[in-house]
Amino acid sequence: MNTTQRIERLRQNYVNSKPSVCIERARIFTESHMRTEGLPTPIRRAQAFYDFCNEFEVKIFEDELIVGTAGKFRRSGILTPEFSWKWVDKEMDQFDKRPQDPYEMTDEQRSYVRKNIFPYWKGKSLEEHFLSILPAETAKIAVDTGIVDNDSKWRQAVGETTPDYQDVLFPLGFQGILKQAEDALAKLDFANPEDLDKITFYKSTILTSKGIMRFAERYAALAEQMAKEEHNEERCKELLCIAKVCRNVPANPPNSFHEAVQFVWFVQLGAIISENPLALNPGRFDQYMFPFFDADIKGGVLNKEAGEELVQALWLKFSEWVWTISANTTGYFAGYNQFQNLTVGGRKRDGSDATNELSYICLEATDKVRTHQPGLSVRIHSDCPQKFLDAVTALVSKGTGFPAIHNDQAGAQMLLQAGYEPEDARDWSNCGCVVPHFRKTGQWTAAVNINFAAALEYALNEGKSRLTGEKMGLDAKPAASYASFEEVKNATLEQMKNLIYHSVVATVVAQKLHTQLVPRPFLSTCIEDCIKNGKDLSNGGAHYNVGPVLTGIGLAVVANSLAVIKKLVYEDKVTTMAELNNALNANWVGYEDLRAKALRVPKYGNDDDYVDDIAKEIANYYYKETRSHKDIFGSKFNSAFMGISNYIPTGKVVGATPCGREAKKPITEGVSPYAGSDVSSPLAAMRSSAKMNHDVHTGGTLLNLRLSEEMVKTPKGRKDLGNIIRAYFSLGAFHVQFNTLSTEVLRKAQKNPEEYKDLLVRVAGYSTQFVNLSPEMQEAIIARTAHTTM
Amino acid sequence: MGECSNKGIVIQLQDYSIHDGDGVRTTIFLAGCKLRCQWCANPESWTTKSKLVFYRHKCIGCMKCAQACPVNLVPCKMDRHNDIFTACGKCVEVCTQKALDIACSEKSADDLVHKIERDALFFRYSGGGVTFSGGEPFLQHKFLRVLLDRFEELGVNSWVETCGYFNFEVVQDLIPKFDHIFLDIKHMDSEKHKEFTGHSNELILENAKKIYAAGVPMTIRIPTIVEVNLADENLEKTAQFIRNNLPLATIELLPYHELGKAKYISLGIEDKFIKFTTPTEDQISHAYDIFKSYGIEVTEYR
Repeated sequence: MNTTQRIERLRQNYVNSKPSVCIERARIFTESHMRTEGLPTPIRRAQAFYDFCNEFEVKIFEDELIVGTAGKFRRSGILTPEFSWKWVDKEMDQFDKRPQDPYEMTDEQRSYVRKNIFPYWKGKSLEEHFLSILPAETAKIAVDTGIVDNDSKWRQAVGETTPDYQDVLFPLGFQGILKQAEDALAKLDFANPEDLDKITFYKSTILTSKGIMRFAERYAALAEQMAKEEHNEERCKELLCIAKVCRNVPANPPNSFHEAVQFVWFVQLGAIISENPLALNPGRFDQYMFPFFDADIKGGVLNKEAGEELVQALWLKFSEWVWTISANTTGYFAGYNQFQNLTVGGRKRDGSDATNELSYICLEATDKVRTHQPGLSVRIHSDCPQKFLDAVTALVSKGTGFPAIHNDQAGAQMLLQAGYEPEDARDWSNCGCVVPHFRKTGQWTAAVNINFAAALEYALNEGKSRLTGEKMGLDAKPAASYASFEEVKNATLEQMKNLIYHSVVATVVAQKLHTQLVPRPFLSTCIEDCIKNGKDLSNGGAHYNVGPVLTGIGLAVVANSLAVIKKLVYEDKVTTMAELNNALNANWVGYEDLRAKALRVPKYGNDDDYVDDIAKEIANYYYKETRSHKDIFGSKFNSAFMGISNYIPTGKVVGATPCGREAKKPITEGVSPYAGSDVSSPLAAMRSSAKMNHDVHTGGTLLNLRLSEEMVKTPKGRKDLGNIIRAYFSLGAFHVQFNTLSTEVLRKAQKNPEEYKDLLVRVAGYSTQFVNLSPEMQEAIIARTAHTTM
Repeated sequence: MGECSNKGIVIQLQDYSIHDGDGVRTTIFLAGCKLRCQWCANPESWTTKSKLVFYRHKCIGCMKCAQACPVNLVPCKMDRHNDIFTACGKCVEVCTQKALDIACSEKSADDLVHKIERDALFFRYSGGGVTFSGGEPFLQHKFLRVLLDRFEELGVNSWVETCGYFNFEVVQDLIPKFDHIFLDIKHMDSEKHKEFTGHSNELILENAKKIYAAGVPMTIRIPTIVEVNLADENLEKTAQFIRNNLPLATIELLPYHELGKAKYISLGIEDKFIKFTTPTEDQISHAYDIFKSYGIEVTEYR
């Protein structure tokens, strides 16, 4: 498959343009809210959505087949001041200068928002409400600390949704959804107090449905207008085709593959306009799109190349818009990443193999266009066609970091564990990076990041941060007075329990506020049962409501550190807790010999039970403790060992750790080994990882490995890798992903970023352009052990 | 039944090997070899003695190794080729920079079985197994005898990579236990063979025939080096030998590479490194054409 010239031009534009902030969405939403004072919040949000769809100056850019942007620019980021504006006010003067994920923004824009937009939201935003309600003792640990981090849940929207194309959107279209809402509304009565909230809800969904249809019609009208003025006959035809497509979708069920693709993009846009979401997942694209693809191919209205071009055009659309986030958040989610996870392969609801021609076209599209979105995930099951696994390892060998490779059965097992019906469990797709998810669900899949290494630090340092001396954890006795390894370990778990507690507090406070301040009428129309229940998605309206996910960061650092304490202090007695504590306070300076000894103690990731057993115990404890809490809907919290780039900011706030790590250095992601300590081979790292009970961590587990490109250069190498993946999954593990770039290539890219603009690397649960990462992130990527043969 | 030993000298275990046979394999490098091929990439394999390895670029000159040395040598000054030097490893333990290491150490059969048992999962899915390499693995036939049976019990297949220079009679019983044998033929001219490897080739060619007669699938590997064995005449002669004596054996050419140089440096024997020339892709493909013209099948494990 080759890209067409059109795709290449679109791609060049994407690669070479810097994202720009567009303030139109903020302006229109704010002006709309000024007009709707006094109305219920859902109505106000829906009206603002409608007003944007009606007022925003729509544009169709050169060469586009799939149309629509949420801002004036091809690569636009939008502002959502109703969630938070303070960080924007504080940071926007530096937007174009910050090291990670810079945006263009003009002085004129800045002065406009400071004068006309921010003042309106003062005291009204989600952020301000959250910070005023959050108990002080939780705020101390959870606000911009890197210890317990849930800033993406009160400075941003939740996102973390997979629109239901299969059972809601494609069969009904927004016209059908609108009718359902109107019918339901007609049956309600203001005299019934229990109907009042439902009436508000239905009115809000009616407005957003009308809004998204209005938005599409305006694109249709624009395309028709442009066609009249277009001299190029070919482009004129295309514009008329675009007009026809936008006249039909998303109002009605799609009639063609092209319409279905445009429908998907309109839904993404609707959600972007609503809330600037993270992890708005296209889900099982190859499944719900295949009937349209197949019918068009068989009906002769589409050839394969044209189908590929549409898929690639959509990939560029997924990548062009940017998620506007704070500098703090970029530490956790680096690389302009929107986490739109698209899952291909796996099994059907009845358990049979689900791969089809589109599954392959998606893999190839990621190879050809080299965009950082969608986050491409594959599901591999035991009876997966060899051809599909070959296509997966072929993409791995290209060094894009894609796809994220998942164990089909483990994903289904995780959903069963979370309470899903078996058929729905089999129908899972990924949310964000590596969270097994199902489309009929309301869930916060990345609610909080918890810094495990901080828990260890508080246990060893009398409850205080080693870097600031501030009391952050529970009271703990001096390190020197621990009499046994068990005592140290239990003290660490006790501190972890406390961090989990504060994570729960921060989550439920945010959840409650979301139901009141930022309901989601548009997304409620995309998820089954919200309409039936007459309840917003943010208020538990979905068919399934699953508990929020708490992600543990630094599992390997804590396991390695406890192993060092066990061996050097209590078994070999070559040092004491007091001396070790002094060494950590000194950041190992003057204790180089002790550090050398610590580095020689077995490290997680080498299939050594001595330390792996400790990791397993921590992981199991984490699961049990997390599950003991419930959210505002009564759902149990879920544990996860996910990635994202969170292992870097969490490391910055933790002093030296007994494992030999120096202060402020990164900790570890997911169930991955500490960078550079998995010296045996990727196989040993896989065996270590698989010892964690992946199936209980229903928020997902992540293993990142770097492979030398030599290992996958040949067909035999790729076949062998495929078999290694099968073997790894036979152990019940959930996910693995590979960066297959040589250090040499990465060094070259650092030196000549211009020449490597399209070089994708896997950061953690996702891939992004290497040159878009800060120098520090680049070093962290390079530091991951490159497994290679001699 | 020959002699057995539960212990042997191992240079290294390398899992996720994909160039040493079918599937994903764990290669067990056994120490000791009688040949001294001038292009050898594994000089640590020449003897079974433990050797100190020093990575100069990591050293910070702290002298902790010298303080730890029980015989008062200075390991980081390459001060170790001495009668009293035993590579006891005390200096390795104290080096904070991981600049020192020991190559070749004694391992028990249990040690290896433990590792192979864990790797077996990956063998099962990929059709892989164990490959013995070296050094010349047949020199440690007592250890090999134990390991082959232990691995068979695990359901793990064993391949071997040999230079052919050993006493056939003492290893005869082991040959049928292998699932596949790689045998190197370095040169057909005995004089040249002696010049480049230190020994003539008669024993190797004789052993090749005897091994072949045991009926184990066989691949002849040729380390292909421009200055040594790439001349058409030598390739023709090699092809004739295979066709006449080992008709079902396949052929694989291993182009010379310089990656061994770092090892010579770290072992402090940089002066023994000789640089040869890597054949071009065209030269390799021309060489393969010669073998194919004799009806010899090419198999590349790469």
